[in-house]
Amino acid sequence: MSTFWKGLLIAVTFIFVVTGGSLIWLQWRLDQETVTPLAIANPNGTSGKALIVYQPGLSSFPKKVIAAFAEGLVASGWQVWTTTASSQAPAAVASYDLIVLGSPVYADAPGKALARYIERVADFGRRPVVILLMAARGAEHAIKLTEQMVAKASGRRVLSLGLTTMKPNDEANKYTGSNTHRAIQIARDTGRALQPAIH
Amino acid sequence: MVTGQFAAGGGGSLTLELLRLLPQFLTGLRLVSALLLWWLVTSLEFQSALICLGFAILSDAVDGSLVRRFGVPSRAGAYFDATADFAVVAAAFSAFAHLEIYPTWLVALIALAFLVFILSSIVTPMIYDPIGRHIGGILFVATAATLLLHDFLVQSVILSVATGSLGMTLGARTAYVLAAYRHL
Repeated sequence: MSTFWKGLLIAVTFIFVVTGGSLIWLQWRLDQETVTPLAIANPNGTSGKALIVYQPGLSSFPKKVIAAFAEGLVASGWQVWTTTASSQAPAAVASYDLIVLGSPVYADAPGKALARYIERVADFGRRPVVILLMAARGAEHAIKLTEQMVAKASGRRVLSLGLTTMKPNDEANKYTGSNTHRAIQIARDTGRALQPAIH
Repeated sequence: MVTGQFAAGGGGSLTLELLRLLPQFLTGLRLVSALLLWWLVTSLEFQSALICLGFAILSDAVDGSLVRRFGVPSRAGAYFDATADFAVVAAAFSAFAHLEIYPTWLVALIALAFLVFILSSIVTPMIYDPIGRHIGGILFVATAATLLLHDFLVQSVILSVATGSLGMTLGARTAYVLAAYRHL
């Protein structure tokens, strides 16, 4: 066997091993919960008390979108409590006026940690729920699945928003500026404009 | 993909002279296509970006055989070829980083691997680096897969494969350069 073919064989074997290893690691990692303390922003907010529970995901995009949405809520006077979807996240949601559920989309479905959190809450008591999903391209199917989970847990969905990295978030202005910056801006504006929508 | 490359030789008909320049022309076009690829990816025109990448891959496959047939392989030509490959890959991954598909450090890792490749090739031509020989191909496939398969999970796998391949080639080259210095 020539050096070239031997090298190619090693390269292909290496890629298979790394791909397989990555898939196993990712399956494990995506199943894991990220535990973070419940953080509060704008404790003196008078518009209401919002709880944001989100799955951070593997890239920085979901976290940035959630942070922008929280900023928008704060800007319109909400008291915002934020934490990651885990067994430590508050399951008793009766004291909140708004619940925001966020997650990246993997293989057309919301993250498992968020799905488990919704199951754990079990009863949102007809509280208004915002669904905020971040996807590479299409979030529609994942949004539908999440809406079904929320409805099953007696949540009152007031808004579903899917933001993407690879599909124009603003088709009319797709050639100006960054698509991800636009996603962050949309999340911030939506958070800010939410107040009249839920009352 | 670094192979023996070209330098136009003298003499012969005008057609032959032009044919001898064809590989350089193709490599030059590949270098220019890097800019176009960056613009297409950041504009979310993924189908057009895929066609642009297809041209880059095709020109990379063709220019080597054209050199062997019509030109004279040269070290400068090989570096020009590698630089054009690097430009295409760097343009694609910096565009992906701009879209927050991959982290910025991956672009830095690709640049570091290219720099180490150039420096280690100057220091010692005898390096056992089976991944490095195919790293351009691996990164081209990673780019194509990113343009075709739009899913965070797939992108995480691609990130792992690209990082692992770059890490392995960097490790192999560094170890060989260090060993070469020890023998001096």
